[in-house]
Amino acid sequence: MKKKIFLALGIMIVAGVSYGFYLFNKPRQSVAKVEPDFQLQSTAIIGEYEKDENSANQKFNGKVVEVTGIVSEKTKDELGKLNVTLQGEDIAGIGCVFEPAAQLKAATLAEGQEVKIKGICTGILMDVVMVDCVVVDNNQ
Amino acid sequence: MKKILFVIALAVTTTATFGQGRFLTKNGKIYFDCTTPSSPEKIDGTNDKATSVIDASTGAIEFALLMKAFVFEKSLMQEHFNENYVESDKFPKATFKGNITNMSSINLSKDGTYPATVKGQMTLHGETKEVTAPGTITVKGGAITAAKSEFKLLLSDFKIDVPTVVQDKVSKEAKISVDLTFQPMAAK
Repeated sequence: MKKKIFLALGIMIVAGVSYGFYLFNKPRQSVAKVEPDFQLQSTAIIGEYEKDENSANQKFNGKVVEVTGIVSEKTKDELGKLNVTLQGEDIAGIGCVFEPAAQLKAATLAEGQEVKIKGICTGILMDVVMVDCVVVDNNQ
Repeated sequence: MKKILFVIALAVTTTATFGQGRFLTKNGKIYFDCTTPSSPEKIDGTNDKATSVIDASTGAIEFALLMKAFVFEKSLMQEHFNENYVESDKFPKATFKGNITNMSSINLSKDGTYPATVKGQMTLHGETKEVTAPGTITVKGGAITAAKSEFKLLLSDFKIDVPTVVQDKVSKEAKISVDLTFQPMAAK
């Protein structure tokens, strides 16, 4: 009887430690299969940040957001990482950096094209900034 | 009298030729590392979306980044960074406002990479501190095309607490690398 209890305890401890280890080492998750918290037009989200930055921060920062907009700029850095900007109504746009697995698809985007991009919204500087983005739909 | 006029004219034209232009990046790279020899893994994060403007006529430089735009290899580390260390819900941005103190020794009419010192006010985690950092400025074709810097920040200067249990595993000093590629700022 005692043996069984020890065995059960042992298994529980091993399970607990390995679960902790798993959590500790869990890589950053892709948003590719995550349902977005918000789906909106690029101009709409920029408008909310421009109207009231604090409340937009509360609402969108750290959330998975899917925006639809027109590519106004696409650049590549020295390491080949893409930066895509979606057009807003005036100067401010949405600057997107992509997760590594989404680079190839992002590379097919062309300036002037309408696109849906899903990523994690992080706030606004000159542009609204989204990180870890994926391209949702580019067969327009 | 003529001499004075000549000097004034010279001063005006030199500032006009050498001192023009503002340069901008929206894709500045910031990397930080808080790994110590006893850390069980690398503690580092990367931000690819810092915004910075340099005014070549005055040497003024400004800088802003979003804390949540730092990405980490491990999701738990990213969560801890945002929630327990920099509290990015409360303090979403970090900013820097300052000057290149030796702007006069950077010759915008001659291509090259010049040593530069930047001094100014850094705001992070709601705290503002004076920071001086060494770096380089790259000039090409009359424009500032790049800036780089590496420096250290004491976490306690910005009231970022390292919990006692991980005191020897998270460095009290963050090593920061800044890598910026500038474009001339379009007058819009």
